[in-house]
Amino acid sequence: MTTDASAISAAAPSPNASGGPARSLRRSFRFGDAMLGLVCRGSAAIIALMLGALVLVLLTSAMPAIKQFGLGFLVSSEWRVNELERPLKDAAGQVVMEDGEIVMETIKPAFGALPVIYGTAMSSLIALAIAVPLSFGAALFLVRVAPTLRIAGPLSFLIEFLAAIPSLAYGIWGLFVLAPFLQSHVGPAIKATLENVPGLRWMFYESVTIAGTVVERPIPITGRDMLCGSLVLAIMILPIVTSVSRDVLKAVPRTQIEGTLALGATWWQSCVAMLRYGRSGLFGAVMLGLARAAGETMAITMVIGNNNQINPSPFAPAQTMASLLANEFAEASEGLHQASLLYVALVLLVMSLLFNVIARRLVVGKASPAGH
Amino acid sequence: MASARFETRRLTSDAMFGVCAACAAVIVTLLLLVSGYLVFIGAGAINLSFFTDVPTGDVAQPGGMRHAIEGTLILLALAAAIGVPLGVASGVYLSEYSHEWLFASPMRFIADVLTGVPSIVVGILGYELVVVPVSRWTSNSVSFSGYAGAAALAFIMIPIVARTTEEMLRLVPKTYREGSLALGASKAQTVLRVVLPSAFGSISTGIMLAIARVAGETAPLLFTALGSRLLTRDPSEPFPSLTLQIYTYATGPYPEQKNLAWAGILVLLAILFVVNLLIRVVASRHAATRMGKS
Amino acid sequence: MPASMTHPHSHPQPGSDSRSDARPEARPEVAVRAPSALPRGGPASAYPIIDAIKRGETPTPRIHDSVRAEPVILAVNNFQLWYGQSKALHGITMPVAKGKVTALIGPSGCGKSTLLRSVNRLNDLIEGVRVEGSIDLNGNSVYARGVDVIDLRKRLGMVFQKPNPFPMSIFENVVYALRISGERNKKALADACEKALRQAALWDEVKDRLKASAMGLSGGQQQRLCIARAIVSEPEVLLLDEPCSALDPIATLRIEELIHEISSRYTVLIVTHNMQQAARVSDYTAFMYLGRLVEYGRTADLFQVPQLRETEDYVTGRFG
Repeated sequence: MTTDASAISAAAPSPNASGGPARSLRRSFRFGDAMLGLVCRGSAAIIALMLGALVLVLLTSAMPAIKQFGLGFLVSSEWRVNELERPLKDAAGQVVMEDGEIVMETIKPAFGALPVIYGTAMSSLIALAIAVPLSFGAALFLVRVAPTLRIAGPLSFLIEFLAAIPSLAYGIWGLFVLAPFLQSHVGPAIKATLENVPGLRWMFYESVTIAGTVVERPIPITGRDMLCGSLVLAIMILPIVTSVSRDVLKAVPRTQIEGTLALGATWWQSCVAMLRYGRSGLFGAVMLGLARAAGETMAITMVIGNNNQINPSPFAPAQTMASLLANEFAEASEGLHQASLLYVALVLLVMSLLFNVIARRLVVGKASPAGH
Repeated sequence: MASARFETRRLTSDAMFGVCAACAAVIVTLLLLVSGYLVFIGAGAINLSFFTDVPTGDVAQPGGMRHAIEGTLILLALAAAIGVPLGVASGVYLSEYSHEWLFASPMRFIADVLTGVPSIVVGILGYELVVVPVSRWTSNSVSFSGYAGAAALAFIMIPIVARTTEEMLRLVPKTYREGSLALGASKAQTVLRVVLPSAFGSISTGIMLAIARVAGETAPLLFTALGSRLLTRDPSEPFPSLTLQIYTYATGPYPEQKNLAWAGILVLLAILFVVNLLIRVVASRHAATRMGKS
Repeated sequence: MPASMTHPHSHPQPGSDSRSDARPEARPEVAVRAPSALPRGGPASAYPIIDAIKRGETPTPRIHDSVRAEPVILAVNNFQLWYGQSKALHGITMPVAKGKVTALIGPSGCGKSTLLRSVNRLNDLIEGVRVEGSIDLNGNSVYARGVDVIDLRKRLGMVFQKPNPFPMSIFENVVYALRISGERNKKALADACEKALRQAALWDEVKDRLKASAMGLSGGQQQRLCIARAIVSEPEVLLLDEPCSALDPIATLRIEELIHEISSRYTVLIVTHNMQQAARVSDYTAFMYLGRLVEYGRTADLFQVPQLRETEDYVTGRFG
C-alpha cells in the first residue's frame, strides 16, 4: 500500500487535502455544477420564451384586427382585401341615380375567418372520416394478425417512414396525380351518377347573382377542390393515426384479450374489447390526426383550390387557415390585411395547441402508465 | 337456436377480420401508390445536371438544383447549430433537474405544446421576429434571409430534441448516476462523463430524426428564407432551399420546371429514406447490445 | 410528478424486500452455536426488545464492550432519518472500528442500506429525506452545515447491489474517480489502474483488454471492477451495499475472498442479508431491526454468544 502511495496521492488531489485522514469537509464552489445548472436552466427557459414569444408576437401583430373585428371575425365570411366601389342601391334594390349618374358607394376592406374555419374544419373532418376507420382496422391487423405472419416489422417500418414523408411530397402527388385523375375520371363519374338524384343538386350547381338575377350554374370540376384536399389530408394522416393507434392497442394488457377469449368471445369480439379498453388512447390518436390535418399547409395549399368562399359542394374550391396564410401572407401589405392574417394564425395556433394537448394527455396517459 | 346465433357471431368475426386485413391492404396500397409515383416519375426526371447545375433562367432548360441542395444543407447546419445544443441542454434539464418540478414540469408541458405548433405559424413568427426587425435596423425593404429560415427550423427542432433527449436520459439506469456520485463526482461530471455518453447513441438518433423532420419543411421557410435562384452561401441574403424550389417549380406553369420538382422530391425522399433506415438499423443494434448486456 | 416518484420505503433497497435469503436456508453452518437453553417465556414475551420496537419504542441497543475498545473511524450518533412522513432510522448510535470489516444485518426493511447510504449522503438524492443526529468521519461531521458532499464522497468508496460499471472501457471505469479529480498524467493513471485492479483480484483477467468495454465482463467481474473503481482513490471507508446479492455462488465466493483481502488495507462497512456472509467476512456485526440498532459486537460473539435472545434467534434463522 505504501509502495506507490505517492502516485496515488498525486493522482487524487483533493481541494481540501490537508495530508492526513482528518481532512475537513468544507464546501467549495463547484464551477462545473454552476455552469451546467446555468446552461440547462437557461435552455429550458428559452423553451418557455419561445412559446411566450409566439403568443405575444401573434397577439400584438394581430391586435389591429382583433380590435376592429373582435370575435365577430370568427363568424364573418367576408374577405375583401381591397376597397370596392359599386353602385349604391336603395331599399327596393334599384340603383340610385342622381343627375343622370350612378351614385357609387365605397365598401371598405373587410375580413372574416368563417370561410377558412369552415374549410379547415370540413377538410379535416372528411379526412378523419376516411382515415380513422382505415387506421383502426389496420392497427388491429398490425397488433393481432401481422406478428403471427411475421410482417409486423416491415409494415411498421413502411408506415413510420411514410409518416416521415414531407407534406410537400404529398402535395406534389396530389397536384400532379390525384387532382387530374379526380378531374377526368372520378368527378365526372360521380356527377353522372348523382346529378339527378333529388336533393344532391347542391353538389354540382351553385347559385350566383349576376346583374340582379339569380342564376344557377354548374360548378366546374377542376380536381383542385375540397374533395381532393380532404383525400390528400386523409392519406397524409393515415400513417400517424395508424402508428399511434397501433401503440395504444399494443399497450392493452394481454390478460384483457385472453380474458375475453377464455369467455368464448370470437376474434372480432375480443378486438372490440381491445378497442374499448384503449378508447381514450384511440381518441387521442384521432385528435393527433386532427391536429396534423388542421395545421397542414403545403399539400393542402397545392390541391384545395384556394378560394375564400363557403360552398358546401365537395367539388368547389375552398381554403383552409393554413393555405390562406401560405397564399396571402407574403403579399399582404402592412395594416389590416396582415393583422387579419395574423389573427387567423392565432386562431390556428390556439386550435392546434388545444388538439395537441388533448391528444397528448390521452395517448401518453394510456400508452405509458409510468408517464414521467 | 343458440348455435345459429353463434354461427352469426362467427361469420361477423370472420367478416371483420377480412375488413381489418382490407384496411391494412388499402393503406399499404395507397401509400405505395403515392411513393411509387414519386419514385418513378422522379427517377425519370433526374439526371446528373440536377446536382451540378444552377437555374439558368431559361424555362425550357431550367438547369439543376445544386443551389437548392447546398442551401438546404447550409440551412440544416445552421438550424442544428442553434437547435441541437439548446435542445440537448433543455433535455438534460428536464431529465436531470426534474426534482425542480415547479419549473421542470411546466417546461416539459411547454415543450410538448411547441411540438404541435403548425409549421406555417412558425414561419410567420420567424417573419415577425427576425425578418421585420432586421429590415428596420438595416432599413432594407424586406430582409428575408437564410438566418431567419434557420431560426424558424431551429424553433421546430428544439422541442423535439429536448423531449427525445429527456426520454433517452431517463433510460440511463439510475445506478450509473449513483455510482458516479458515490465516487465523488460532481453533478456536472456525472452528467457529462457518465449519463450523456451512455445515452449518446440514442440521443444522436433523436437528433438525426429531428433534422430529417425539418429537412422536409417548406412552410416555415416561405416567409423567412424566401428562396433564391442564386447559388449563394451568404445566409444574410434570401436563401435557396430544396423544398422551396420544389414548391415554386411545382406550382409554376412550366413543364420542364415541374419535371425538376419531381426530381427534387425524389432526392429529398431518398435522403429521408436513407436517414430513417440508418436510424432504424443503429437503434435496433443499440437496443440489441443493451438487452444482451443487461 | 418527479417529486412523487420517490416511494419512501421501497427506494433504498429496490428488490430486496422480496428476497428471503436471510431465512432458514441461509443458516450459518460454522459460526453459530446451537439453540441454547436460555429461559423462554410464552410467544408474546419471547422478544421483549422486538415487541418494544414494534410498539414504536427505541430500546437502548446492546453494544458489546469489544466494540468500544476499537479506534473509531466512523461515529454514528443518535442518527434519525425520515422519508417524508415515515421514519426509517431511529436514534442509531454506533461506532465503526477503523481498519475492520463491519457487517450490518437484519431483515428486509430494517434500514441497513439506508444507514449505509446515509454515510456518503447518497440519500440526499431522494426527495423528502430529512435527518437528525450526526455521523462523523474521522472526526469531521458529515451532516454539518457547509459540508461539501462531493468532497465527502471522494473520501468514501461505495459498491452497489447490482454491478454498475459505466458504459466505457475497463480502464476508464477504474480511473474514473481520478479523472474527475483532474488527474491527467497517463503514467499515474495507468499505475493506479493496475494497482486497483490487482487489489480487486481482477488484473490477470483483464490486463490484456483494458480498452474493452466494461459491459462485456461477467457479473462477478463487473462487481470486482466496481470494487477496483471504488478503491482506486484509497477511500477512508469502503461501503458495500449487498455486493453479492446479484451474483451466483462462485462469484459471491470470490468477492468474499476479495473483501477479506482488502480488509487489511481498508475499513469496510458491508450490508448483507446473508448471515453466512456476515459471519465469513466481518470482524464486527450489527443487528438492526425496523430502523433500530439491536445488538452490536464482535462477529464471533454475536453469532456464538449473543447477549440477546432476539439476536440469537435471528442469526439461527428462527426469527426474522
